[in-house]
Amino acid sequence: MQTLFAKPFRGGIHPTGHKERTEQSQIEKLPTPKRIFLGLQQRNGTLLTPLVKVGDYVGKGQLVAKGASDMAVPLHSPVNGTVVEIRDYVSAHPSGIKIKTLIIKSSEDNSWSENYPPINPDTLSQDEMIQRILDAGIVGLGGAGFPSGVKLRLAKQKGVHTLLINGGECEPYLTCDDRLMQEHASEVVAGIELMVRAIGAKEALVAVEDNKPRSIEALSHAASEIENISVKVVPSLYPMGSERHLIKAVTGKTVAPGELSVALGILVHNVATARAVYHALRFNRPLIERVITVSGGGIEQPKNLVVPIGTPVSDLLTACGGLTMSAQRLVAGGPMMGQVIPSPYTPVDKSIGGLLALNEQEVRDDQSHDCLRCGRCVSACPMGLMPFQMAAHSRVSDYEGAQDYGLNNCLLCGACSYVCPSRIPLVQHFSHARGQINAQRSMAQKSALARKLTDARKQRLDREAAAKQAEKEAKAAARKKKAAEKKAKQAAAKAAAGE
Amino acid sequence: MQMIISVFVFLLLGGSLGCILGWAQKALKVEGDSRVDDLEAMLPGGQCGQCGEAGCRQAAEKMVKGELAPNCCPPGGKALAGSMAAFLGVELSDEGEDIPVRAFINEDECSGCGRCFKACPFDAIVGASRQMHTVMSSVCTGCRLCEKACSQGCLEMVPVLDQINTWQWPKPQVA
Repeated sequence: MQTLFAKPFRGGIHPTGHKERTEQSQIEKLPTPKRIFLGLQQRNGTLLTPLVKVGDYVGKGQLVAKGASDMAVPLHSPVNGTVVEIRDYVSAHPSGIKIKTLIIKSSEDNSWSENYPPINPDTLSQDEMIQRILDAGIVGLGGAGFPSGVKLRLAKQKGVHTLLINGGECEPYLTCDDRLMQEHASEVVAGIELMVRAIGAKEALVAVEDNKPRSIEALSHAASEIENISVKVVPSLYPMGSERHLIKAVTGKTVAPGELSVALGILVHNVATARAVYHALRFNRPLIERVITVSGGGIEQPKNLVVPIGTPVSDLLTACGGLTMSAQRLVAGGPMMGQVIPSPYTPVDKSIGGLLALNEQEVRDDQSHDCLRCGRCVSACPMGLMPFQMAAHSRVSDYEGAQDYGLNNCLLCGACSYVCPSRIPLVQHFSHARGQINAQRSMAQKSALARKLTDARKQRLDREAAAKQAEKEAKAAARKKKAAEKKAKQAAAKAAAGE
Repeated sequence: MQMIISVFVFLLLGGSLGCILGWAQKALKVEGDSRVDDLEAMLPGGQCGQCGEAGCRQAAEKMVKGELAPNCCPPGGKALAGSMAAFLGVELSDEGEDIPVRAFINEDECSGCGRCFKACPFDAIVGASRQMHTVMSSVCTGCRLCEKACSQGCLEMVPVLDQINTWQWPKPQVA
């Protein structure tokens, strides 16, 4: 165990933690929900093909949908039950756009459908391990939801030497990773060991913020006999959970803008992902549930719950005693980077680690004022950007100007909005600007494609016209030849007759 | 003698002036506005005529003269309008922004006449003659040329709805 005390990176903020609400509450199992809603479209737009029909019986852990590539993460049924419907249903996306969803009515039986034989992971090769992680449908459980197998494969190819495990959990309110580290430290450590072997890394570092002493103790204890796993204590500072900032805090190295951390030989994974990897490789079990913190001033009894993927948010609220009178807004994830949930019937997906019901004081829907040029956002920005300048450009729709000020490097962490005394919705401006830039880029790609296609069409039409012309000429020539031959024959006949 | 000198002088004068004129024609040539060529290269080249001009070249000429706004090209969309406005150094007005549309063929009613296929400048429609035709929505620019060509009335323009991966955060209303 080693403690790092100097300021770990530039910027950052100390938001009020609110973690005391759920810090002490042991992870509980949510009763099996009556219906499960599995969205068949991922956040990045990738579509999954359902492998079951309406009326089919599905078992817990059965593969029910898969995509065309490794970037499309396979879905497994979290319950035993029957597929009752496949239709458009609300998803956890903040837009509230409905996506094709597999609806499963669950039965009382809660046992695993098949007898999944435990395996000895030591007998698996590196590629087999990564393939099994892909097949288990494991994604980064820290929030981004990137397929873990794809990340591990890339790390193996690039010869990553250090696996950095993110136990930062810097978002206020959330304690699911903290509780997971305390209650399942040995499983987390076992998962880390397996991942280290899968990518051929030399060592693993587990970084935990210093406001989680019990997790630090539990992990240090679990990892004490393992030489190449060490626990690092990092100061509590938001956004410590960001990959770049965690690397900077633990190793002192800076990931260059636009680069990936594997360029430095470091791969970052979340603690919950490590545990899911352990379950997949040791017990042959797909990712069908995850730990979620349900908290906020609008929740009667905040809790940490093990939730089957696809459970509607309303079931979680029910399990936590419902909403208080003052509850105003539902948020998926933490209060800093979380997204508004469009409806209480929204199902949770693999990347949601928190469910917050915020009350009036927590929502902070104050009127915003003009920028004071106080510079607090500049000192808070962990990426060293000037948020007020970027917002000024984006406000007048000058998105290129915002890009010149480094919009592409913005993490959308919300530290600037948090400190702004004028309550300017800075991070909202950046989300909007980023969306506009993406839309413009895809439109430009489409225009280029259209141009290419018209050129190709023109060439094709020219070719066809030329072929037609050639055919016509050939026919005409043949006709002429025939006529000439006929003439010659006639002349010969005449001559013969004349003789 | 004088006559010979004057003939010589005029010959010299004529020759040198001719040389200067010849050089000037090459060196000081005024080319057609090169911006027209650049703009034409930027336009989709579908010759769809939605801007009200005969084709993309004519539209480019009018845009350079300032008679046509850079956002006149529906197939090019916002991105093209933005880049052309930046190229010409003009402001883009926000008004007149249409909802993007795509062609859609009601396949049950398609007779397979192939007129829409011939009308599409982007090869976004596929199908053989006397067979059902369909639109590849990822390629369709919504230029509406096929709409007029369809003899069955089974081809309509439908608005493009936001998908999870195309939806954008709206601009914050305050500040």
